[in-house]
Parts: sequence; structure tokens; C-alpha cells
Amino acid sequence: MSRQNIKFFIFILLILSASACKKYLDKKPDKSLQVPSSIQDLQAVLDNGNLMNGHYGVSFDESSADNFYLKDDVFNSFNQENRNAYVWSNINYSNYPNDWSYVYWVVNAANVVLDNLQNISFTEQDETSWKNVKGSALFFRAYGFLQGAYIFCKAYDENTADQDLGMALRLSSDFNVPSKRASLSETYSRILEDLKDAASLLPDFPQHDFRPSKVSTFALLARTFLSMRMYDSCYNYANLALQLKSDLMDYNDISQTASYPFARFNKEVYFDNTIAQPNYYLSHPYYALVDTVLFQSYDTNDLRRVLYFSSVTNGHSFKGSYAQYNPFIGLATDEVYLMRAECEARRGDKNDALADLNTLMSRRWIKGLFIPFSAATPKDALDIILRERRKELIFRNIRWMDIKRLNLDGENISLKRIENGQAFELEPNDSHFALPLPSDITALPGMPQNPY
Amino acid sequence: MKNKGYILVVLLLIVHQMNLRAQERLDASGKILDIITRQTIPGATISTKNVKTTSDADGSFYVTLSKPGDTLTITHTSYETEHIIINETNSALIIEMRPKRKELNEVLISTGIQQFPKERATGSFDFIDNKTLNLQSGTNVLNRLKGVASSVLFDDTKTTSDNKKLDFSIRGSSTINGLQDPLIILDNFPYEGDINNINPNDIESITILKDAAAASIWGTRAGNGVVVLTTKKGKFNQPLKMGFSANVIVSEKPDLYQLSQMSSSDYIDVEQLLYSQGAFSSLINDPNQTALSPALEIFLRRANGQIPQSDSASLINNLKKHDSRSDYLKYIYQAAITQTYSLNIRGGGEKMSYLISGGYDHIVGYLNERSSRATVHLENTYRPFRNMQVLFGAIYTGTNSQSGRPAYSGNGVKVGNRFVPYISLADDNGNPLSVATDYRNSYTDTAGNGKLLNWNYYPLSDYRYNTINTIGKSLLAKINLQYQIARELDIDIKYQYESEIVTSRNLDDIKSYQTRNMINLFSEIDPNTGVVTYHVPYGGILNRSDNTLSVNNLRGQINFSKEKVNQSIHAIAGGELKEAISKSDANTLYGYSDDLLTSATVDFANAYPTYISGYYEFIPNGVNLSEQTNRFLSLFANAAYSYKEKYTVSASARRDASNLFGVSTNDKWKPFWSFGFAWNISKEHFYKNSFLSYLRLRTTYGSSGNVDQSKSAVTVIRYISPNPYTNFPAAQISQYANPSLQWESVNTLNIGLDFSIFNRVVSGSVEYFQKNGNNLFGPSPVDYTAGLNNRTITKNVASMEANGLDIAIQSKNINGQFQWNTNFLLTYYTDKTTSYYSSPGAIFSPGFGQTISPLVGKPLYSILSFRSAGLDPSTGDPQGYLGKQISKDYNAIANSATSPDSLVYSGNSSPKFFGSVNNIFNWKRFSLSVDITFKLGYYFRKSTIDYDNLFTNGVGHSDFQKRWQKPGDERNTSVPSMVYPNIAGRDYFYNLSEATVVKGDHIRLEFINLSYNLSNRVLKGSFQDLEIYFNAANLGILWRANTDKLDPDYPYTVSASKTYALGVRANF
Repeated sequence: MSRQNIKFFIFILLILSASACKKYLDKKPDKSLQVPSSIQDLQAVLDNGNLMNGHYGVSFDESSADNFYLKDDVFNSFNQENRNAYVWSNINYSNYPNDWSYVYWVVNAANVVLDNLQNISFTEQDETSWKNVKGSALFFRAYGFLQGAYIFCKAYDENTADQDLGMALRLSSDFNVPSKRASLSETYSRILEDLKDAASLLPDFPQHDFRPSKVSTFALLARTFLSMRMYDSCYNYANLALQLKSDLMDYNDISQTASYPFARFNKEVYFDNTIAQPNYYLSHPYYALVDTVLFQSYDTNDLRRVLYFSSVTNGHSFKGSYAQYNPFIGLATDEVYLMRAECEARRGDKNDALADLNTLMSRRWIKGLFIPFSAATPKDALDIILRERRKELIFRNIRWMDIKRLNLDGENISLKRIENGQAFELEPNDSHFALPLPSDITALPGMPQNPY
Repeated sequence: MKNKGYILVVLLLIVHQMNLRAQERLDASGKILDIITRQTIPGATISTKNVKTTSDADGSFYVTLSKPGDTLTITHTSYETEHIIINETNSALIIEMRPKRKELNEVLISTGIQQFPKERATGSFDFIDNKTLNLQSGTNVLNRLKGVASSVLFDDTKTTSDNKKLDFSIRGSSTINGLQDPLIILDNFPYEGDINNINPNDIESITILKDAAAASIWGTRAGNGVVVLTTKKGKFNQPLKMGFSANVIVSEKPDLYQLSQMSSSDYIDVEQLLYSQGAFSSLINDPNQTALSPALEIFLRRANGQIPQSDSASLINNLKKHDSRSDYLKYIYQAAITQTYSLNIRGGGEKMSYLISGGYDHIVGYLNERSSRATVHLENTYRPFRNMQVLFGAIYTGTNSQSGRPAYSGNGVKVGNRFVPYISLADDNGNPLSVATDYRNSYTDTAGNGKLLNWNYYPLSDYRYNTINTIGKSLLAKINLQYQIARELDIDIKYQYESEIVTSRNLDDIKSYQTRNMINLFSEIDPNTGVVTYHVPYGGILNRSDNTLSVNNLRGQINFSKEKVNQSIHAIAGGELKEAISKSDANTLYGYSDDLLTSATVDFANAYPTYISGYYEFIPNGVNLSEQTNRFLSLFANAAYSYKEKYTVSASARRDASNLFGVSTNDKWKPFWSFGFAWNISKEHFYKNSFLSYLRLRTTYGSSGNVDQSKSAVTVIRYISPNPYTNFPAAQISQYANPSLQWESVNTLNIGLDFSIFNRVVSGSVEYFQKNGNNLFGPSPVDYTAGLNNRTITKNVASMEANGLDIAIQSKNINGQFQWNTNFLLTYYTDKTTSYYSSPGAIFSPGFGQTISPLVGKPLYSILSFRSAGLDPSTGDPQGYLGKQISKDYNAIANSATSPDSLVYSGNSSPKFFGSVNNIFNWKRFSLSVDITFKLGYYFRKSTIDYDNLFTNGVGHSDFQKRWQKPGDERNTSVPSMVYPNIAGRDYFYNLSEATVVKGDHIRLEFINLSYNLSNRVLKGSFQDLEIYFNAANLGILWRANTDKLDPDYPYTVSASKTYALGVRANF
């Protein structure tokens, strides 16, 4: 063989030699792809607002609650899953995506971040960023579990929580790990643990309302304790949140002619979260008419009557979302004022309770026409606060949980719908208040359906 | 260098000797032998510059040369020309001659890596020559395989995707999740660009590689078969030749009435019913002013007392009589005309051969869209030394296309959220009418009190202001270097660069509806001053995008071939590198003026209230950037050994690796291998069958595999556009860690028998093939509590076994002045799922037969259906079975489909038999070819009425007329009654029940080609030959099994239009 041959062989050998070949094949096939390996990568996953703050399609709870009603013709124009949801009989369904999957998309994104963050150490310079990522992931996971528990589980009752079915507590991003429903008490313990950890890691205030922060974690902790009917703890966290931020808009400053009066990311917002693509769209203002009695309960001097509602054929529709067109289901100061007021009333502190309520309400009434609320007893104060809570937080995915927990306190709220001449009723503490899981999920071992 | 120095020294010595022995004569004599048979060759011409002689009957010769160093040239019609330099008298020369490969019946197969005569092949190859390719016209070369290539199945019903861009498959596809297209090779390398950039006139022949031997040559991407396109080339020692061709193709307007659309009258009746039920009450009160259909507007005006009963009735009657398709056929669609021209010049001398060709095509489409293509192809081969050959080649393609009128949607014109089938596009005089497609006219007529731009949309004229112009430039350049080291050994280095640049400009000028709508939506009118602020500036909107592709291919290869009297060895070994980079970028310019080339600045950062709803929205910036790089690295080798031309054994192996993401290097490599054996029985001395004059058995067995591109052992994220509210970088999870996924593997056996009867009166081949696939990919249900954004994930789900027969027979039925030849192609193919690795909670859903069926023992692509129990005689509801019980609980029926037994097997979705019969008649100068194709033994699911789709989207179906309306109808129809409000799962159940599965068997007249040849005798030598031809294609179905008059190749759309071509082909 000539030398040219040998040279050729060497050439071939060179291009195929192990190291060259490894390098050649290690080129990324797509520039936008990345194995998450830095704090920035993981922060980017959490900053995907479309998923983490916007594509939350959860709407099963609001669609089951009593803020709205549907005219027969509108009801009939819906597909059967929506119609069934409206009358609490959507038992056997397997459409996808659904509220269950929406909740777990967010949980899984958080788990991917938490799993990968274990392999990333931080230096002094990026300690804050690392902590922000970890705290945010814990916050999002807890938010997901809590949202799911509000929809799919019974209200927390410390006497039965050990036996009641909770959420599947997925704490790893490995999809091969089988799911198993935990008890309700395990579910709430996990939520509280995650949130408390998050609070110790997150900065006081976020760079943007899409990101979690210490103040929004306190607000979410308060919401969690309220739904567990642990009013002391709720008070503590509501207090901590308001100490950091207690801004309120004066509704007198808001334009009454705009189609959507409230600006997004306004000063009351702690954390922005919306329903961009509701799974059950029947509760969307486009279709839903506001419950007539509820609408009439707004005082004529109450600015919410004009800012929250617009007059449409046959009734009123809701336009007061803090996220404009899409329903706002995030955290804001008004909710925290009402939580603190409720806890104060429940522990008998009538004056503090009314003070908090009036601070909020004075900014909701036409200037100069607000008469501060007064009450003879803490119980009276509590009743007023609960009434105003319902009116203030309408269409924020809060009412369903409120009905469940208040019925455990003996409020005796029953729901009634009439469609095409047929009446449907949901008694207080009915098992259907824990809405059913999708049937393809309950077909899996370890994932029992709620007992009905 | 040392070699050259040596040659120089020798030359000097020779010159020195010449001086010494000037005028000395040399004698050369000896024998001429066939290099393979070692038999003497009589009649060979031996020539020098001055003398010429022929070899004797025993192959011996004698010649006298004038001086040392003269060259002897030995030529023979059946052998390759040999050159020998004679330096001294030699009386015992043995000159071995190599037989010419291109003998009359010998076909040279090109795999893209090597070339060899078909006689030596052990694998499964199909060769389509130039004449067969010319039987069909058109600008896409691959479409010419229709009806003439064995085991190639064209199927337009399957949807195209990134993994499936071509509309045909070879012997069924071997994977579902991987690439499903056959690999297309242009000469020596895979062609990555748009297949439409190849001018069919530049292609000399096509070879199709079908079995494991194919995959083991081309690796991972060859599992679905390989199509090798061989371009025309110049030849050495060939006088200048010129070829010219031109043709015109006319395609008929598409027959829109073939669509199974609901009649306008029925549609309006349903609208009336829905209106009376209040189904539109949310829509009518919609604050977004969503457009309502003309009939609804009339109902409303009637209800509001704006028009009397009699007027509304006559208006509605007029609408009921109108079908939008008539307007589309009258004003929008036209016959498409394609013109193609091509010219090529080729030839060659002793040291060089060349080819220059050019082509130009121009298409005016159905919608008056225009496109043109110009191609230039250059190829030169040099032989600077006797043992070295260098090839330079380039193909340049320029394309330009311009959009035309809007196409018909298939269901009507979109009005608001619904399709409406009775919209008029023009008034009685043919003047364009405005159609309220987004918003109600009552709103747009008055909105803004004249301060906004006109908000009307005219479908008939709007296309003039909305144009998409696409310009493509593609270049393919190559250098091949071949160097003969020794008689048996040569090395071959090939490099090819391919680049494609496609620039697209979508301009909506200020007159277009799209732009006016956009500007109006982002306009704010100050309620006090009445001043209008345009957030989208006044002017055109230009969406532009650039897509580039650049591919580098490099291959180094050693070829070894040694032929002796009784045996021969051919072997190659080499390595290959390939890199393909595709980039794209796009953006949008606002306030754009094409005349002045100016654009305006726009605020993308802030959301503005939109005019109608007041909802805040961002102005889209249209930015899209991407860059992808695919790299491949391969090593390959193969060898074939023949003994006495009777027995051939072959083996080949290849290893492939690519830069798959998230996979460790070891897992990136995949080995492929194959073995083959061939036995030419008719060459055995004991074989004395003059009837079956040629009989050859060949077989291959090999292994190949597929990898899923989405396979990843780690979680991978993809960066997406930052959220407009935050502008923080954002990423989403793109691949979930799926480390348990393994390679799909497919083992293929091929046994072929080549034969000819009565000295090639009938010849052909019969091939049996068997495929065994393991670890096939498929969607497997996943517990979405895990948070994956899908309820299925790709897993290794099944094993399969496939058996098939390919039969190809050519027969010369009548010979003489009138000739009749028949080519018959038949493929029989069956496969079945042999095991299914089911996972807990799996849901087996009925479908269209496009995913792997879990039914073990049934075809891989089985159509599964809900078992049907007919219609309820009292209500017309479709009935199914829940267990053994007849049931109408559709959700329960769907949810109980958790095992394969709960569904019914309705048949195979891919044909068991398919093929073609091509009859060619020659009489004098006329030649007529008639091609008939058939597909037999399969089923498809037809579309039918889906009431939910009708109520919510306005998509109806002509089956509506056959619906159950009164008791007794259930005896004549399976179409359910209409029920409002709709019942969940009722449509889903019926659409996927047994009742909608139809037999697909059919026979089709694919094309007729008639040509008339004027040879040089007629034209007195100015042409070598001149051919005029007429071709008609897509001539329709001759027979079909289904009674619904559906075209099984186009069950949901319009069949391919009939085309007629007239052309001329000439050689000078």
C-alpha cells in the first residue's frame, strides 16, 4: 500500500477517534433545548407564566358554586360535561385535559425544578437566586395541592382528616412512580410544610406579580389555615402579610365606563394567577348571570355594584376581575383584610374585626356616603364580615371552599339549581362537595374515587 | 510525491533509450482473454497511432509499433477499452479485457454507495428506467413512481407531519414514532431539501431498495426503504448529444361537490331549530360582536319586527337555494396549467465528460396561484491520469411562487365561530360581496362613527391585497475523487454541499381586510376630542421569514474488487460524516409601504385595549428564531463473493450515531447488519430446462432499528418566547426523562426468485419477505397525575410480525409489427400484533387504524370500533353494548373500553393486496400505455354526521338526510336521529362504531400514455428521434366495493383532479 493509502486511513481514524467523535456528536440538535443545569434554567421554567400563572384551567369548583345561574337556553347550548357539572352530577367523565391534570401540570413543573435544583450548588453571589427558585417551586407545588384539595376533597375537619381522602402527593418528577391518594391531613401537612419552607426562602416582595414572594406565601398560608378552620394561625399569617403590604385601591378612582375597570397587576395584588382556558366555561362571565339575590345585596352606594357588574339582557354579568377578561384567582390584600377581620371576630375581638372591615369597605363605597359597619356582638360582626367576604371575593374560586368550611361550622348553606323545570339540590355537607376525580384516574390502583 | 518522482525517472530513462535506439521498431504479440472466463476473445481491434489489426479466432494478435512508449488500444463491442504502453518487444503479452457492464439486458443498480449489475444482487431492488419514468408527467419526480414501482404504496389519506412528508411507503412503514418516510438519495447522498427542487428531466433512473440489505447500507434512516435517484450524466468517448423536451399539463378544477356536505336547506332548518331553542342567545348578546350567519340575522330582524313574515320567508328561501361551492367554482377555482421545458447537452472525450442541462417550469394553479422553477445542472468528470477520476457537479434551483385566491374550507365560509355553507361571494352581476366573517355588520357599519377604517371583507377581491411571495434558492455542489491504487483497489472520496434558502413575504397591504381589522382593533378614539390614536400604524403589515438549510456530507470509501476465472470478490469499507443545519427567523413589520420601503415603529412592550371588547392585548411582534443541527457519523462495510457466477454470498454492516439529545454517547450508536446468498440455478450444468431459461434464487436476512427522536434519559426543557408581561426568559418542559425506552428493532428476511421463460418472453421475480419487529414504539397511557402534558407517552408497546409477497412480471405477449407487453406488479402484505405490553389502566380506544392495535393476532393497524346494536326503534338513538347488555350510556361504554375485548375488530386499514397492471401496445410508431392500479382487502372509516360539531361549529354532513326521523327508519338507516340538547358521547360513539367502517377495495385507472415517434428517417437526420406524446392521469375509479360512492384514497376530501398532458421529447 502506498503512503497515500496510509494517510487516508489515518484521516479516517482521526475523524472517528473516540474523543473527536464524542465532541462531534455532543452538539445540541436544537439551540432552544437545554438540559436544566443552572439556576437560570430552573427560574425560566418557573417564569413560564402561561403555565404557572395563566393556563390554570381549574373551574370545576367555581362552576359548582352559587355565584351565578344559567338561563335554560344557555344551559342547553352547553355540552353534557358542562351541563352535568352545573347540576353536580358530573361523576363519570374522562375528558382531557381536566382540572385534575391542570393542577398536576403545575405540581410537576415544580417537581422538575426541585429535583434538578438538588444537583446545583450555589455560591455567595447567587444564593438569593437559588433560594428564590427553591422557594417559588415549593410555593407553586403547595398552591397546586391546595387548589386540588379545594376541588376534589372534603373540607378539612381535624376529627376525620386522617381518614378522609386527600390529594396524590407527588413529590418527584419521575412519572414511573405510581400515584397514591394521601389522607387529607397528610395533604394539608405537606402544603403547610412547603409553604413554611417557601416563606423562609423567598424575598419579601416579588420582582413581578407573576413570581411568588414571602408576602404572597403568608397570604396563601392564611388562606390554607382559614380553610382548615385554624383561625389563630390564619390570623398570624394574615397579619404578617398585611404588615408587609396593605395597599388598597380606592374604587372612587376607578373608571366606571371601561369594559374591564380594574388594571391587571394593580396595587392590591400579591400574586397574579388567572384562569386563561377554563375547563368548565359555564361559570365564565360570558355565559354566567350573577345570582339575582346576591346582586341585589350590593348597596346602591356600593361602587362594586357598578364596577363588578354590567347589565346584560336578562340580568348581570361579572366584569370586576383583577385580571381583566380572564377570571382572577390569585392573592390580593382585600382577601387578607377579610381573613384577618374574620379571625378577629371569631376570637371575639369585635372592634379590631370591624376596623379591618371598615378600612376595606370605606374604599369600596362612594366617597362621603360610606357609613361604617357596626355590630352588637362578635357574632354579628362575623356575619357582616362573611356577607361582605362573599360580595368582595365573588368569582375568585373561593366560594366553593367557603361553602364547605362554613357548613362544617354550621352555617347550613344548601345549593339549588333549576334547569328546564327540574330542580337540583345539594344539601349541606353532601358528599358531592368533594368533586369527583376523572374516571381514567380512578381506574388506577391506589386512586380511589370519592365515596358518593 | 515519491511515486511521481519515480515516474519522472522512468520517463527520462525512456527518453534516453529512445535517443539511443532511434528508429528501432518493436514487435508486440500475444493473446486477448476475457478477464473472468479466461476465454480468448476473437475480433478485438488492436490499434496504435498508425496501424490497426484484429485478433484471430483464437484471440492472438501481432502488431508492429514505431517506437517504444507507444500505446496499444484494444477495443471490442462487448468489452471495456484497454490501453497498454509498450516499451520493448514482447511476444507473450496477455491482455485481459473486462466485459462491458451495460449489456443489453443487464441493469446496473445504484445504491448510492456502490454500483453493481442486478445479476449480482442478493438483496431486493427495483429498477425503474428512464422510459418508464417518462410515462407520466408532472414536476415532482417521486409521483412518477405511481403505478409503475413494485411494493410502493401511495396513500394521500394519511396526514403529513415532520416525520412523514412524503405520501408513499415501501412495504409498509416499520415505525410509527420515528421517521416514516423512505430515504431519498440523490446520486450519492441523502437529499435533505424540498423534493420539488429536483427537475424530473434531470433524472435518468430510479432504484428502490426494499429489504434489510438496504437498511444495512444506509443505516437508521433506511428502515422504511430507500429511493435512489440517479441523475443523467455525460459519458467518456461519446459524441455531443442534445435532448429537448416540452410539455403542457392541464388539471381540471377540483370537484367540490364530491364533499359530503350538508345541503343549505337542511343547514338552515337546523339553524332555525337551534335559534328557536335559544342556542344562540349567548352569541346574539355577545359583547365581542361575533358575526352571525345571514339566516340568523333574518330570524332576529323578524323577531324584532324589522321585516314582515313574508319577506323573511322569501329571504330564507333564497338562502336555502344557494350553495357557496357554486360561487367558489365560478369565481375562485380554475383549471390549473403547468408548462415544463428542459434542454440538456452531454458528451465526452478521452479525458473528460460533461453534462449541461437546464429546465424551466411554470404553474398557474387552481386558485390562480403562480409558481415557477428554473434549474441548471452541470456535471464534469475529468480523468487527468489513467487511474484518477475527478467529478465536479452542481445543481442550482430557483423557485418563485405567489399566492392566489382563498381556497374552499371544505365546510362553507367561516362566519364567527361557525361554518356556513350558503354564503354568497358575488351579486347577480358578479360584483364581489362583503361577508361578515368576524363581526356583525350592524356593528361594523356604525362603529367609530366613520372614524375607523372600513371594516368590510370581500373574499373575492381581498386576495389581491394579501399576497404571499416565496422565493427559494437551492444549490447542490459536489466533488468526487476516485483514485485507482492498484488494479483491484481504489479509493473514493466524495463531498457534497447542499444549501437551500427560502424567503417568504406575506404582505397584507392597507387595503386588505386583515390589516384594516388589525388597525381598527388597536385604535383608540378619545371620547372628548374624537381624536383617533392608531397603536398599529396606518400602512401595510409584512410578515417575513427566512429559512435556510445547509448540509455537508463527506464520505471516504475503499473499494476492492478482484475477478478471476471462477470467482470474484467485491468489497467496500468506509466512513461518513454528515451535518445538517437549519435556521429560521421571522418577524413582522407594521406601517409597511412596499413602494417606499418604509415601516413604522410599534410598541410591543405594552398591552393596549382592543376596540370592541376593551380587553388589553399585545401587538404581536411575529418574532420566531430557531436553529437546529443534526449530525450523523457512520461506519460501513460490505462484501460479496461469487463463485462461477453461480453462487454469491454477501454481508454488510453499518454503525450509525447521531447527536441525539439527552442520550449518552454509547446509546447513540446502533449497529445494522445483513447477510445474503444468491444461487443462479440455471447456470448449473445439471439444469436443462429450456422452458424456464433463467432461474436465480436469492435471499437476505438482516437487522435494523429505529430510535425515537423524543427519547431522552433526562428531562429537557425548551426556551420559549419570554412572557410579554414580565419579559423574563421562560422555558417549558419539552421531554420527560424516559430512560426505560429502548431501540425498536426489526429483523427482515427476503427470499427472491428471478426467472425468465422462453428466452425472456416472460420474465420477472417473486419475493417473499418477513419482518419481525420488537419493542415497537407506541403511545402508552400514562397516569397524568404525574403532570405530563399528555395522557399518553411513547413506550415500547408491541411486537409484530409481517409477511408479504412481491410479484413483478414482464411479459411480451405479442411480438412483431404489433407489440403488446404487460407489466404486472402485485404486493401481498399482512401483519399482526404478536404481543402487546399493556400497562395498568390502559384505555383502548376505537379509531381510524392509525396507531398500533393492542389486539394480539390482528393486523398492526386494525380499525377498532364500538360494537353497534343498531338504532333505538323509538328514539333513533344509536345503541351499543355494555358488557352483554344493550346500552345507551355512551360515557360508560367509552369508559368500559379498558380491554381489547370490549371493542370490535372492523378490519385492516392497510390493503392486503395492491399493485398495478401496465399494458403497453406498440404499432409502427405509436405506443400506448394503459396503467391500472388496485388496492384490495382493506377498510376505512368514513366521515358522518357529528351533531355536536354541527351545533357548535356548523360542520354538517350529507348523512344528515339519511338520519332516523320516525319509527321504522331504523330498518333503512344507521344514522342516528338529531337530538337537542346534544347527549355527551353520543356522536363519539356513533362516529367510531362499526356502522361507519367501509370496505376500501377499489380499482383505478391511473394513467394512459400515447406517444408517436418520428425517427431520423422521417426527419432526414436532423433528429436522432422525436417523440410526441399525450398523457391523461388520475382518470378515476373503475370499480369500488363501497356503495357510498366514496373514493377510498380521498374519503374526506376531493379526489385528485384529472390531468391531461401534451408534450414533445427530442434527441439530436
